[in-house]
Amino acid sequence: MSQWLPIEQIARSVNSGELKAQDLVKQSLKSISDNKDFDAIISTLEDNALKRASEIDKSVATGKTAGRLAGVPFIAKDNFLVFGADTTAASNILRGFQAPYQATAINKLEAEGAICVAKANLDAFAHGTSTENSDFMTTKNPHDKARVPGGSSGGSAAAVVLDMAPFALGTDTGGSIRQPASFSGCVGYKPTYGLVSRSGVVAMASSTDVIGPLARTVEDAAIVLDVMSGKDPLDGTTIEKQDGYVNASGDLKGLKVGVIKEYMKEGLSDGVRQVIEEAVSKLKAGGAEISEVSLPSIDMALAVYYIICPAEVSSNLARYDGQRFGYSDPEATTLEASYKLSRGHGFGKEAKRRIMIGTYVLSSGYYDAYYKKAQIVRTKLINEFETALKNVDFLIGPVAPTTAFKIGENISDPLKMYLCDIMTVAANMIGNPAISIPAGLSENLPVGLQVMAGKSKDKELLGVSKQIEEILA
Amino acid sequence: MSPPPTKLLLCLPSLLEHSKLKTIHLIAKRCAKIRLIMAKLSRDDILKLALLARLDLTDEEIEEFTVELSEVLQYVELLQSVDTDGLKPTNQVSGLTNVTREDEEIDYGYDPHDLLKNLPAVEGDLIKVKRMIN
Repeated sequence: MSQWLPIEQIARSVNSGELKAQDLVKQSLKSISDNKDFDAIISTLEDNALKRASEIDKSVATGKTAGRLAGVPFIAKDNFLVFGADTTAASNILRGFQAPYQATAINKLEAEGAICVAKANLDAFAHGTSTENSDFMTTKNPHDKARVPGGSSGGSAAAVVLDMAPFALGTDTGGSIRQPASFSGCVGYKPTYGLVSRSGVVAMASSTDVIGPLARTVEDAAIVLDVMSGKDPLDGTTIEKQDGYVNASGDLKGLKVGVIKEYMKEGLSDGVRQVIEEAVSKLKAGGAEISEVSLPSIDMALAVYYIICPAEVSSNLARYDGQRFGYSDPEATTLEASYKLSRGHGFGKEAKRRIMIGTYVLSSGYYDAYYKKAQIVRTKLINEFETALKNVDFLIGPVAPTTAFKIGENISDPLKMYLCDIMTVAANMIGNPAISIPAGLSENLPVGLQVMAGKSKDKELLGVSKQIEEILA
Repeated sequence: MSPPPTKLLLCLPSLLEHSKLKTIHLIAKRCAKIRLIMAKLSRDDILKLALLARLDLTDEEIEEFTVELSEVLQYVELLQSVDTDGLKPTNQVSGLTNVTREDEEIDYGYDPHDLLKNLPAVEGDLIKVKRMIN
């Protein structure tokens, strides 16, 4: 049983004075300290959080209300710029970096009374599927300490499952919210591309990066999304939000749901297959019209991703040059040497790997064969999804081919690690919303069910997800 | 010989088992040989990329990257087998074009001193860098 009430109830109780924001922050900080050995948290914002909580309590005492998230503690992945703590992106090169401004998402949450209590671990710069690429530490899976929590938002997922806060923030570039949600056992929501401002979040692959919540329930995730989303002048790619993310309702009866054929093929582990097949049967029993849908190019999504993502990474990480912020190598005597040494010594291996791949696929003579080809296959993927979603309302399948793997199992083989993203990257390449909902356990390890919807159908996806969550519970 | 079969990719999740991974690598390598681009990177290629990307790499990293990056590139080369006739590239998926705003000064409230706080080296309010020419 979670120590946290549903978010809506927490806020209501804080606004009525029944609960004190200060007690909620203390409760969250205690839970963080009690679970220290899971290495989910990079830093806490104790002073700032308690100060904000006391302000909220005082404001409520004078008869004011403090917003839709009044007093609700949360944990941000450490690639969000937040006042009061370093923003490291779990990288040595950004160690000690202090945010001169805050992420729009954080500002919006704070404006509704939410309180950031801590920053969560991730694969450095969000490059990875296990948090093993963090330059600081590997987070442990809440269900089995010998296993990874998933990644890159592994610290955020573990924090939610370990009950450190009612919700956490993550970023999803190729599956980094959904895959750890599946491995650790919580809800992970990847919104439509552009729905949440990326301003103040360390950039990875700008054409696929999205920000989303990890929470205990779909409704909690929906409230957080509702607060964070919408157009932002600081991010030119943001789109208008829609009404009705909160209390969205959906009826499974008569709903057309397509099971993605390619995701259920050989390669899917038996345990995951069993949980997913059971979930599909339950949806069918709940009245959904289940069919099998083939997306022939979906298997190419990972190859598309591992060209486009490193290409954008190599460009976004060019700003870490050792001059304006971040690590600057003390041995360098010339500017050129300072670039090379600061980057060479400051970046971890995976960041360097991706910068190198990105540099290669964008270089003269290879651009058309790799980068342009990937962008064209991306179009093909978009077309196939559009066609499929004309015939069905939602697409479902597993989030990942396996449950959480052991720490160290894949670390020596980058390609093998990349393959963990095989079922999540498609949603990022096409920009559509997708969610991971806890579907059950396989050998005591969580398995998530992935549900995908048409572009900007976030309200519909949240509505049906609540139905699915209920049926699978 | 025909281009690499798409079947190869359909069984890719099974790569999560290491024994199968090796088999697939062999197939991927075999397929790579029959294609126009052969993504077998040499030590010199890695050095050139490292120079372009301004990365100082250790000998160990150079060796590792030569193998690992070749493998990743061989994998992504599977895209060459996809028929994309008549399709245009997708650069972004937001559906927005030409996002502009009024050309006016906006005060975001940033304190320049907060921005300077993160600088590795400053002189007064200026960024201090190492000399540019030898």
